[in-house]
Amino acid sequence: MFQSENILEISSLTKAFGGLVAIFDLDFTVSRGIIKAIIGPNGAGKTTLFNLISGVLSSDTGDIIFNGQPVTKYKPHQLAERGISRTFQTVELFSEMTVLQNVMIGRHIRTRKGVLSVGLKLPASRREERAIFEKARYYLDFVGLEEKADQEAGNLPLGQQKLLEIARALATEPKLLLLDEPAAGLNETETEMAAQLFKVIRDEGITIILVEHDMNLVMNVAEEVLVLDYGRKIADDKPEVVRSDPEVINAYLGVDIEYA
Amino acid sequence: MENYGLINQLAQYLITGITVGSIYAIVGIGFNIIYNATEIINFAQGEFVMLGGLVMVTLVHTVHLPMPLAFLITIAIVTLVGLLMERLAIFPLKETSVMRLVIMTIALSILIKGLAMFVWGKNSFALKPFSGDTPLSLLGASIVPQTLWIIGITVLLVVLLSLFFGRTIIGKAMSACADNLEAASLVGINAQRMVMLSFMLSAGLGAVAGMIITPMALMEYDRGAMLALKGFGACILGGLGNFYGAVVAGILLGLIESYGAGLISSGYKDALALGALLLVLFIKPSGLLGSAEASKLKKF
Amino acid sequence: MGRRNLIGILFFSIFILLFPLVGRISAVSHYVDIMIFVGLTAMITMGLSLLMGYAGQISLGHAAFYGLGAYTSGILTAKYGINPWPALLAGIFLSAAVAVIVGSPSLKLRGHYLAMATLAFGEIIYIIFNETVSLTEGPDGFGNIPHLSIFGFKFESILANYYLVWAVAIIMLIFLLNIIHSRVGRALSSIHGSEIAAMTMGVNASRYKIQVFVISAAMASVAGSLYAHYVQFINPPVFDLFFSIKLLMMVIIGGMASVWGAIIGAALITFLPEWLLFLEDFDILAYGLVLLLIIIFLPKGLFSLPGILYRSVTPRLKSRS
Repeated sequence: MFQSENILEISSLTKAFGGLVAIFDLDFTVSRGIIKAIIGPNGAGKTTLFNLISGVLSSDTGDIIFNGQPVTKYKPHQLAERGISRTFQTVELFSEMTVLQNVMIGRHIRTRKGVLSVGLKLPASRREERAIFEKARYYLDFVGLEEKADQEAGNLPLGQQKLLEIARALATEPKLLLLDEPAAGLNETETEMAAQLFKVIRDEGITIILVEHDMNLVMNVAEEVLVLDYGRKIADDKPEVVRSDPEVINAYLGVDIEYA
Repeated sequence: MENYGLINQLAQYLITGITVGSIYAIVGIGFNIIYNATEIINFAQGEFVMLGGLVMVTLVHTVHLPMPLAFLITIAIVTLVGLLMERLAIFPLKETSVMRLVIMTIALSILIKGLAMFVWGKNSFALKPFSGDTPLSLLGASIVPQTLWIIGITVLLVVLLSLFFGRTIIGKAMSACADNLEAASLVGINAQRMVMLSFMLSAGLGAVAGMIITPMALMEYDRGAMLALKGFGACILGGLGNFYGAVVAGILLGLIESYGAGLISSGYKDALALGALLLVLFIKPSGLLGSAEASKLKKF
Repeated sequence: MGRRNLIGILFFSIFILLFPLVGRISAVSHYVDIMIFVGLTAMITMGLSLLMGYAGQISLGHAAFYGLGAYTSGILTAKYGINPWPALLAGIFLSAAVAVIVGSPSLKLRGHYLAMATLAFGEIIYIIFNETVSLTEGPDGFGNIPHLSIFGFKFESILANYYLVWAVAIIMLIFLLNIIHSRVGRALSSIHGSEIAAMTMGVNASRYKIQVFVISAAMASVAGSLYAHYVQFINPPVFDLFFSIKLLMMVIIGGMASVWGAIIGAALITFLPEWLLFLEDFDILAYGLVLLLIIIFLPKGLFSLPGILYRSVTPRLKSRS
């Protein structure tokens, strides 16, 4: 099968909320198998961009091509099926369900059995349920939360909730993983472990786009950095090039971005 | 001669349709007012109409008050019921799911219906017309004067309400809440008060509808549900939250019902009107006069 | 479906098995008959609780699906001499088809359109039962509906019907518990947890809402068919709006997100007239009041009561020790 070199190609993407333009005429690409970071001051449009890519919002104009296929007006569940999964800046877990059940929901899009089949507990649906259980365990294990499996998700500390979101997203078997500020609220050791985890995920062949404020983390893991300011691209290059870009430094109001 | 008779009849159905439709229009507006303020469909909307009719009957025929005075007192009483409903049952639930609120209005409608049965029993009550019952002749159709009262009062209500929402501070504040509750709270509009007002206004409107229809159609304790359904039909047909849409759609519904009863079968008249409601829900759920984009934003 | 539910089903089945012993006590011997109606009603409320508690939707038309089942069975068997079993199936298909037609447009919209659509649908069906006299005998209703029979055994006695109805009800209970503890049940619960996350996990909410609505309608239809064959006579008032509202009430009283609660609710409200005979027609007042109080003070229903009591007692015990 033909595989384009870029997993994601975005061209002239625009999204406005009333008079407020959140994303304006944005072009960029993401190569297959890398970690790309998106940075920018608050209100730069990073989360809006994630909402557009994952189909939660639909763009006003512009095209999104995912894995060689135009997906501009796709709904979230169609995108999930094609291999885009994400986490949220404000953790969005199913907090009254157990940790394991949260990851099991991640298997939803990869399983098929309908109401009748599960209601009658047909052998095929039993097999599927067992497979869902085992896969969910595997991803829980992958992020190191196996011991918390039966706890209520809402009772986990923030750092573990973020990991759980990643496990849930991985359970959908994505080709592209969107992580929205995965290190916010984590301490230094946790951040270091998260960085390792991201690299392992990338090495499994999953492309990652990362919105992050922690510059150390970005510089540590990202191969490319896209800088947004007021919904426009002001830089898109290797981390070491971006960090010395005068326009980028200016956007951060002259603060040395390493400590921003 | 035969032809003349048919045209005559069609004119009669037209007038009946507009008359009944006016009532649905008022109930539909009542739905919209509460919906805009709270996002809930008030299942007790029809009970306001029923109460309006029965309270008026008692004030006029038992207490022997003069009509105009009874009219005003009835509005006051039913408005008070609306106020109590909001204060005692809706407000205490505070921030809860819309589902729980909707179920609450279902409970309230059962309760009000039960209380009405307790007070008035199961009989139908007649109310004397506002100005005699000598029929007038128009376009070959004979019209009872009450018809003119109903249409006239409906027009008056629509004009008054447009002035209220467009010109007065309170009315504008209510519209602002309907547009964007959070923004309205930010500019200092007391959203709580607006919810309370919406229930009072809606109850008062329902009372008027009940009083003007009773001389033509009698009234009994369990009429509320069907009136609410038709009013809701007007509300959906016109596009939920759309004030003028409800008026046009209400009259349309009345026409469907009256022509259906006259030309097809009177037993099925309610089924026809409700069928029209279902059909719109299937084909264009945003309402005949509503926009699809707007209905996507509605959450109720 | 979890150990607790399995044990629950076991104990419940034993209870159902032994309940007819009360028939020996003369004062309450008619309770067995009432329990048949509890079982029929529970078939409807269990489906409704899945619809309300998991799909988050209100239906005010389930009396009509109950009626569709009863009338399909009644007309096909009493008037056309068709065997009751295919007639029962025909009722299921008819109800399911109607549910798809009524449900799919209103369930694709956000909000409570289904409540009004089903209310309108229920009224239309009720009018049809009354008006198509050639088929339904109108308000008078009709009789001569045969009892069900299988392999030559006729479900004629109260006891036979009792066990038949409850066997079906318990199978439905297991069916629903299976759904709740499956990918479908998890998907439905996830929508309550976080709608945006459910969306991005690929959960197609409206599809499951429609499926649940159709299943609940089919279950109500089965209850209706069983009703027709047990009572052998049907007329419209049994399937009116007030019964739909009572069904809603049973689900809310029992606790919306619990099929067990739905059974308890069905039992309470079905037995209530037995204990409230003195209220006569004013039972409607009592119903309204009970519903109101439950919504205000026990939004999760009676089934949540033990948990609430437990939680309010345990801190005190702990502080004492």
